Amino acid sequence: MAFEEALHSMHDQGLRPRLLHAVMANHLPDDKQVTRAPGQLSMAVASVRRHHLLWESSLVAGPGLHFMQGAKTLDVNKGAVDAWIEKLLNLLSSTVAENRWAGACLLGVTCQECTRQRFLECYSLWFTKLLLPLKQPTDPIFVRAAACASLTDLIVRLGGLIEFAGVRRDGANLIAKLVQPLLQILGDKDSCGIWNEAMDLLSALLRYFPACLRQQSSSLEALLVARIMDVECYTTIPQKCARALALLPKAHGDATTWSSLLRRILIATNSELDFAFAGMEDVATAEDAIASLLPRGQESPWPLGGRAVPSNACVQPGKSLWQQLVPRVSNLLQCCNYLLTSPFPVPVPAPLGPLLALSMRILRVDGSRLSSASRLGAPIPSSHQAALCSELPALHLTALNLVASTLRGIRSQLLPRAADLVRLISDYFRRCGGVHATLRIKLYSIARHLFVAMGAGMASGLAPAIVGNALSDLKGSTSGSNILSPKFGRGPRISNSVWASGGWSSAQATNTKKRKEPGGIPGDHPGSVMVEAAISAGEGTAPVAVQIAALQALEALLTSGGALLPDRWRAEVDAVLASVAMAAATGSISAGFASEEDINFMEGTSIASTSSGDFQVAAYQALLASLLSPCCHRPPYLAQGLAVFRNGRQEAGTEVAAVCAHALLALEPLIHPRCLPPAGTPAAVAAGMSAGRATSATLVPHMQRSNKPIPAPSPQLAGVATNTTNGFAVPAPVSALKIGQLAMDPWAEVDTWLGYGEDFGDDDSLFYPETDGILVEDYSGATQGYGVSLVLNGSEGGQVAPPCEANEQKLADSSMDLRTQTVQRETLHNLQQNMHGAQSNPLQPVEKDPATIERSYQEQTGIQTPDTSTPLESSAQRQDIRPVISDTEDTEAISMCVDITVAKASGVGIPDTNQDAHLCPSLEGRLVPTATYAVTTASYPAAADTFASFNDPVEITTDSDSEGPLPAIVNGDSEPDSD
Amino acid sequence: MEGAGEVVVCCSGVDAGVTLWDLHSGVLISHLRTCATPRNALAPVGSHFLAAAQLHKPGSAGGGAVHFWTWHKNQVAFKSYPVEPIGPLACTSDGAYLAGGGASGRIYFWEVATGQLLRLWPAHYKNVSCLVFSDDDSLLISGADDGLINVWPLLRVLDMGEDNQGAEGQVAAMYGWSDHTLPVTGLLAGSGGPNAVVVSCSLDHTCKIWSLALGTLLRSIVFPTALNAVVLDPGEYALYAGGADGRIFITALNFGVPISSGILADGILGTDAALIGHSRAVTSLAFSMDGVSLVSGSEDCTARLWDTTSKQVLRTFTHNKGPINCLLVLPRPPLLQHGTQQGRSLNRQIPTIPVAPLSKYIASDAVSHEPNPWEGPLVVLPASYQEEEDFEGHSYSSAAMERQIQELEQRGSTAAMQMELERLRSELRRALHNGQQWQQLHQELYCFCVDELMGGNKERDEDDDKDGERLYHRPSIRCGDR
Repeated sequence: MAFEEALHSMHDQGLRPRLLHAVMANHLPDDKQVTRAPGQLSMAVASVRRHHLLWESSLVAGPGLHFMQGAKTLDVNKGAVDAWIEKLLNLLSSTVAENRWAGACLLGVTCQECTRQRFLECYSLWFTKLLLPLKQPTDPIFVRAAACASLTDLIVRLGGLIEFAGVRRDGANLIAKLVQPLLQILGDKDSCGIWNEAMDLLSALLRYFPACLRQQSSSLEALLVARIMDVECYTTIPQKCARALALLPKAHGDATTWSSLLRRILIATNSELDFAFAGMEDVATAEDAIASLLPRGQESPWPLGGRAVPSNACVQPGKSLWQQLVPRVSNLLQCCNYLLTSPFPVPVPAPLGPLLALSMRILRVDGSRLSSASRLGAPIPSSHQAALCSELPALHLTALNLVASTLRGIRSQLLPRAADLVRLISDYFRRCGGVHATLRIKLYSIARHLFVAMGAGMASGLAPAIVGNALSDLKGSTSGSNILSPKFGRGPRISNSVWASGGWSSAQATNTKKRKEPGGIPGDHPGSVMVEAAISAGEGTAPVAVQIAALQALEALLTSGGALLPDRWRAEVDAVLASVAMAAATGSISAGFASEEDINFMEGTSIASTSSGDFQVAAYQALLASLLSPCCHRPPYLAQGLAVFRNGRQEAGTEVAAVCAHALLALEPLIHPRCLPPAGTPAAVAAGMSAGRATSATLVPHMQRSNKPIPAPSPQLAGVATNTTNGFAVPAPVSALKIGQLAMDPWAEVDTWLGYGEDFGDDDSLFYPETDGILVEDYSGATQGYGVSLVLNGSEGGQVAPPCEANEQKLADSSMDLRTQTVQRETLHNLQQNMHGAQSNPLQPVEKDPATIERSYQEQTGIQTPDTSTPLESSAQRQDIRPVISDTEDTEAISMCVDITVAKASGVGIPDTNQDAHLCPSLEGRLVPTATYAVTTASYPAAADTFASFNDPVEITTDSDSEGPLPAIVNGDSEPDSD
Repeated sequence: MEGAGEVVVCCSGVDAGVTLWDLHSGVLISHLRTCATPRNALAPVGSHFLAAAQLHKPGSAGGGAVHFWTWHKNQVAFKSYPVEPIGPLACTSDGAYLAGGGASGRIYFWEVATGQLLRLWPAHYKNVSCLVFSDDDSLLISGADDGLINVWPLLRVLDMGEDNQGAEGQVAAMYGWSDHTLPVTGLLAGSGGPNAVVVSCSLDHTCKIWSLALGTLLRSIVFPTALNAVVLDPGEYALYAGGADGRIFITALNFGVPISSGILADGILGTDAALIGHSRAVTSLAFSMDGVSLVSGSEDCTARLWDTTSKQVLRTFTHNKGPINCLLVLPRPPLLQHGTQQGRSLNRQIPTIPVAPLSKYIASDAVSHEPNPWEGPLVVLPASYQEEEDFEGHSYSSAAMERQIQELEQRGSTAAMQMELERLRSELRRALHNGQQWQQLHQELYCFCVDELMGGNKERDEDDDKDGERLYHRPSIRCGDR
């Protein structure tokens, strides 16, 4: 530092070089001084990372305030980084081991943190420096390990820059020097201390520069397989080996190598199992599993890992067979998982049949002896049997993992085998899924992914098993109303008759018939009865983790095929999900809002005591799915659900709150059923809006920014508005008044950030930027659909109000490809919900007798009006307000008035939401088909009054939320005005 | 809409090939040769291929034909010859399975990657006229000249393990709807998987709307003429039905729809609301993804782009080779985006499911002599690693460093011991070095003292004058002597 100059602030560009020098002086070891605590190094790394000390550009930290100093700062920055690298290289060539270690570690961090230009300039020098310790077996392990890890970072960074000119070739040249030392390390027992890092390095090489290892792939395979088979290793090493082995086919990059590796792994696994399962399994199953892998008349492929490693023979002394079997099998299958789920440059022939046959083979073994086998061969020692039984859960888990990753890798092309999967999972649930929590969780998660991946068909196939098991898990057997005892837990076997009949009623018939049969299939052991006994006689409820998994599975089921569930089961599922969610809510909210009946209902279970955030989230999401998923009657627990979600939203700062807010948004179309804005492009709509605003302002208000001068609010109104905390929901002039010194549109700043001019008229191009890809256009129709809920929901009559929501939705849609399929499904489901409004709303044959309509109105109004805690005051206030509304011409003014109502009412008192629960349709009544939502829409103006009373002081707590139901008042009232 | 955009694909019943226009500019993009299709017989297979079933030529033998093109080549990529003429074709959205309806009422189900005929089952009594997949690709819906509409769950269709009828046996439909009195001509599944509506149109002048969830008829709309095609806009707001007299009828799908004047129209926009322009029968309809543009193909050899809000024709595509039989609106295929850098990189990086010629017969296990029986269909593995370690900013070096520091501080491992040993060694070296220095110093002092004692007086007398020189030189000389 030439001369010290006072820093302007923490954003000053001059801070960085200074801090870097300080780090060098204070935290780095130097040659003269040896003893420095190793912890200093991690502090150095932390500050380098936190302040990005190695960045050299002066343009990085936001709006640069000091343009003049830019060039100078750049120089200073560059000098500091030069000095830092100089220092590190000195450390690396130091004689003191500790310094070399520090140098190696810090160089790795530098590789990641430095600018791209500097990295491209220096990487080959750094590479050579880091390679030196690897080549010297005499160096301390620590130094070599650190060098190895840093090389990994270097390779990863280099791999990201492979598109740059020359990088591919130079990188390959450098790596050629690395391969031999790496092989040496992996083959050398003495350097096992750095295998961990060496495996990481190997994986990175295979991932980014696979072609460099093409020559060595067979020797690498032998090495890796030896490590996997070697049980003496640390636990993490074989797993990393499995991953590296799975990446090995990339070295050749063709489908044949991939297929051959997977085939040989499967053969090896099967032969490992042959001995272990001898006498315990049906010989036919084993033959099935191996038959297509080793077709007759073809010579078998060379064994896994080359001829040097006979897979089955190396039973090491001192260890029992079982201690070796499970780790080996699980590592081999882990390798299969990696093979199936990692990207590969070309399409590969996935061995569907053998994969499923192997999983089936493992899952079929339940530790019982086969009578036929013991008669034929030597009797199996009972110690063997006991040992097998103790290891079986672990083996089953690996097999289930294999099923899961098969699904992940093969996805929709699993369809021809999907029926087999359904049978496998239902069967496994029935036989042995009940005992081990981990297995059960895994089963649920597989089922969940199957539902999401395969849609309606899978939902109708797998539903019996999942519904039965999940309900019994959720309710527990000690529940008072024993509608669903574990007898339900044995989902009906998917049999020929079920498929053939095609109807659900007959499926149930088969179910009951099957249960009465005494025998069952050969595999149907007393064991399965024991399992059920264990559930029913045990402590009653499943562990929370299992319940969460069950909830998620039910959610996926309802999402992908809730409409296809038969009515009786659907009603059960809805009832249980609602009660579980309410119990979860009461677990956290001490002031219970569930009615006594519900508490009694849930008393038997121990859910309430164990409710955690995760459980709540799962329960709420499942409840949401149950409310949204269409069925042939209106959702019976809508009121309870809304109450649960409203309460949950108050848990500020938790995920529960976010889930509840989303749920309330998603339920909007149920409450204000489908009504699309008039067709037209966004631009056209906006233009049309500004012209004919007086008539249709209530329809598409959110699409448009108000350009019109807004009548100045009266002082009284402004005073009221300052009470509201929300910037979105408050009309623009009011917010300007509130902010005071910043008398400008808050959106103007956002426009500037996003590159739109000040004079940008409407926000539509925010929603539909031209750069958006196809995907966005894809959903533009749907987004309009989303607009509907907002429209109905209303906003303060054509104000700035909530473009944020539409915008968010838009963004979510456009980033949809980045998300997982699950999320897509969910979003699609929600969108779909919008498209169909309240399920089947207009299309359904509606019994529209006036009585029903009348009743539904009474319900609507009846639910809301009497349950305010201060009905008299609020109604009085409403009457006060009415004249104001009818006198006012402009909708903005109306909204002001409503603000008053709301603000005053909030002073009056928050109603207790308990009474919602009383008024909603009771449990018995849920099956009675009530009037559908079409009614509300069909005579919309009439409903407006309902809405007016609907939302008064009751919902004042949701005032701060932009999608809260509050604006509906405006909507409802202003419409008759405009007429 | 730059770069990407949508294309209009259409072809006719005479051998006039497939023509591709850009939807928004109207520019002719490409022309694929050798194609004459029946209605509903055009299907994109994945993002790289287009399949079209071919009309059965009167003079030729009994078999049918299906042609495949890649988007960027004009010639037919390959041809397949099923045992009977295929009418409608449908492909799942990921391009994994292709279904075709035969003239005898049977449905063929192929796996695209291998070309294997997975299943073949009698579905209708007469010629199958339309096939669609539900949008979650789990249900296949078929309509036929016998007026029936059947819904087939694919899971059950492909389940050959349980029933012993083999791959050509009967399949039980999930629903069979028989309300149409004349041949079904158009079929469409809405959005929403099992919750969707199915819309069908027929020569009996009606459009019928069915619920997949309930399996019942929701609504039947009677139009003044026989219908050939039906389509919903993406928001499922209105229904457009193409009539045999050239009109396209518009009906609101839902009740209570607000129209632009702000007044709620109860129910129907009026069956007399129609797009009028085609002079002969409308044969196919397709919606653009912008939600307002409708493209219609007609027997008057034109395709028209309509603005559905103003009900005006925006553009007319003239297909002067013959009457249009099939028409699709697709997002522009990546293979046709050669001009853009984006398209080029897209094509290079992403592996796609290959397309193999369709096999004619079901391969039974006993007959098949595949070289590698363990190998399944070619699949494209997931595009991203799923390990949690690979998030942005994971640093192997700092992870290793933290681990080592921990070991060092606890002195827990052999490596830490080794490090400690290294440290001690270097301290030892340093101490030895220090020792040497001290030793040297000590010797110098010793020499000095001895000198002082032995010859101090004499020397002092001699060297009184040159003090500095003596102080400088003597120690080194002495040391050198020793």
